Amino acid sequence: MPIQRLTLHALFIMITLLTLGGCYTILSHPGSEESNAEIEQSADCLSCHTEYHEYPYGYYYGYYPEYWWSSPRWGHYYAYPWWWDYYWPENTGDNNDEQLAPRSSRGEKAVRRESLRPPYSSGVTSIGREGSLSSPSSTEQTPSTGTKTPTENQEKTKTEQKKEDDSDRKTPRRSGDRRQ
Amino acid sequence: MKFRIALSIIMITLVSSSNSLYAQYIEQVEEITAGNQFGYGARQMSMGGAGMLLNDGTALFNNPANLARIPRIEINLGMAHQKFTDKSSVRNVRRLVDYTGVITQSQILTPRFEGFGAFAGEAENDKSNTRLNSAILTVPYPTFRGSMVFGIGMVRTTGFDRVFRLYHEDTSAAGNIVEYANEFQSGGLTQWGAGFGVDLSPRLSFGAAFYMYTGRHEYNWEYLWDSLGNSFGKEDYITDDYLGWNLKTGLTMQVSPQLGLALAVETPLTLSIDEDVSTTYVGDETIYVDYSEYDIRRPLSLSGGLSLRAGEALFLADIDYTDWSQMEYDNNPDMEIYNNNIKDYYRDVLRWRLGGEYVIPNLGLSLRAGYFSDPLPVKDQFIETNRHGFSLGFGLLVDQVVTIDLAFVRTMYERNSDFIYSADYDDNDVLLGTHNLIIDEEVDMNRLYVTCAYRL
Repeated sequence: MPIQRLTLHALFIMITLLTLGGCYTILSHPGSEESNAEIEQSADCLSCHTEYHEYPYGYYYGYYPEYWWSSPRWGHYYAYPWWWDYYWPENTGDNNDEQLAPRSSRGEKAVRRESLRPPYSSGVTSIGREGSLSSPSSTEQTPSTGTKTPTENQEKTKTEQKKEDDSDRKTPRRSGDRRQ
Repeated sequence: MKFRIALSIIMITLVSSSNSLYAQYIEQVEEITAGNQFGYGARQMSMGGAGMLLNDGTALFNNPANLARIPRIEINLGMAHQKFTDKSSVRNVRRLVDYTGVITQSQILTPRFEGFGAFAGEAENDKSNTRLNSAILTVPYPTFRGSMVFGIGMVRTTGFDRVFRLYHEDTSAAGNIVEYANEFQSGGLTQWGAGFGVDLSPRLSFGAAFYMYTGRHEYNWEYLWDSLGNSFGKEDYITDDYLGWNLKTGLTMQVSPQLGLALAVETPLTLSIDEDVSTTYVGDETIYVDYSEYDIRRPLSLSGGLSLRAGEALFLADIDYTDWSQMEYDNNPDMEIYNNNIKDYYRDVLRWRLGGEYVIPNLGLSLRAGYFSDPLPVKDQFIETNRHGFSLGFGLLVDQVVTIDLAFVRTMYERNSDFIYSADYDDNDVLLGTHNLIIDEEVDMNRLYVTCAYRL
């Protein structure tokens, strides 16, 4: 094998190793001795990560077309990480009742046609006309609507959110305006 | 009568000295693995083949960095159907190639043969094949921040399925010269890959992949010649087995939410080739066999891509550059002497591909179209119309877990090649020159791609 070719291949391997060594991508929550699996499920990620709402599917700067939200199956297919269904450690996805998140005691009717929402988000993320996102405030809750019922695990996440939501407002149905 | 004897002698000499003759034949360096990308993945093929910034399993082969944009476990399977049509015609001139000088010189003479009237021989042949096109598994590893996605799979990167038919006739009062030949090729080069993509920042992703190449090329050549009472026929059956490997790395950058850029570098590919040849002649029951081994090194390839998103529309553009004149034979001194011919025959090419997609969200439907330029890697003198084409297609998102994509791609080109009709030798059996027929070929390829992807 010519020396030039060996050098080229060695260069590729070095770049790869260096890249992985100082990588931005991390597999578990940093700065905590507890593993990600031990973070309380009611923890509000936004209290520390205020910029999370800008990255609804994780820290990614790309464009999220509005139809990924209005027709959530597109967002589910192209952007929703599969492990978010299992984000909370108690929820192993095996439908064991003891592992489910506590149910809401107010007996509210479950939201229909809700768009996808990342499990770390407390409150509902609203979407601007151009697909830009705005974070929820303590006095303003913006329901997110879509055309698809979320998965079972997403419903569980939503239940957790409602524990912190003091509003008695019924979740709107078939809302067309996501910026109300 | 004198000409009849001379022609017979020429043909006998041609057969008996075929090895030394073809050693001087520039098109002997024609390599079917050079620049004949078949394409894979119906989504990208329906957009002219622009796939550098597509976020499906084909990213493993287009740009491993884009694997990082796949958030769900994906199983991607694809089939492709091709109809290859070749129309050939023999020009009413012959090319006399002089080998007596240090550098081969050629000139065009007309008519094809003295005393004969040239007949515009035309022929057409076609062939259809349906084959597995892609099978890719993509697995994102759960991350707290960023993305890390692994992929493994195969694509049929080069197709060898093609046909060619030759009909040549010259007439005289004493009788006709008639040639008839059929070329039939099949097989393909399969690219096996394993790689990963990882986010370096919210805007930047990096990916790398290792590829192994395997494949078989089956070549069949039937040739019949008849002139003034003499006839000759032969059949070649050649099989080439390929094995090789190389690497690819890629970077994807999201310059703005709407604009994405990608770069990828593919290292040189060394293909080891084992060739078996068997030849039979009409009237001779003996099967003549031969065997050879050699390597061919394909040069480094650079690729770039761009994506623009606006609402339901997506626009993609890809380019890649390969200097095929840097291709080399290796590990076989008898083949390495052709390396100069490679520089005379091949050139560098810049391929470009444009495509667009418009999504109708409520229907789960994507409509796509594209156009591409995929120049032949040979020099301009061998090309009449460069390879180009267009594509159309659509995709369906079924529920939220399955996509079914369909693409139709039409590719066209016209080229010419020399066919050695006869050769002249001196008393010491040194080749003085050849009389070549010039054959024009008009090639059409209609391809249909179907890909189904399931995301868990």
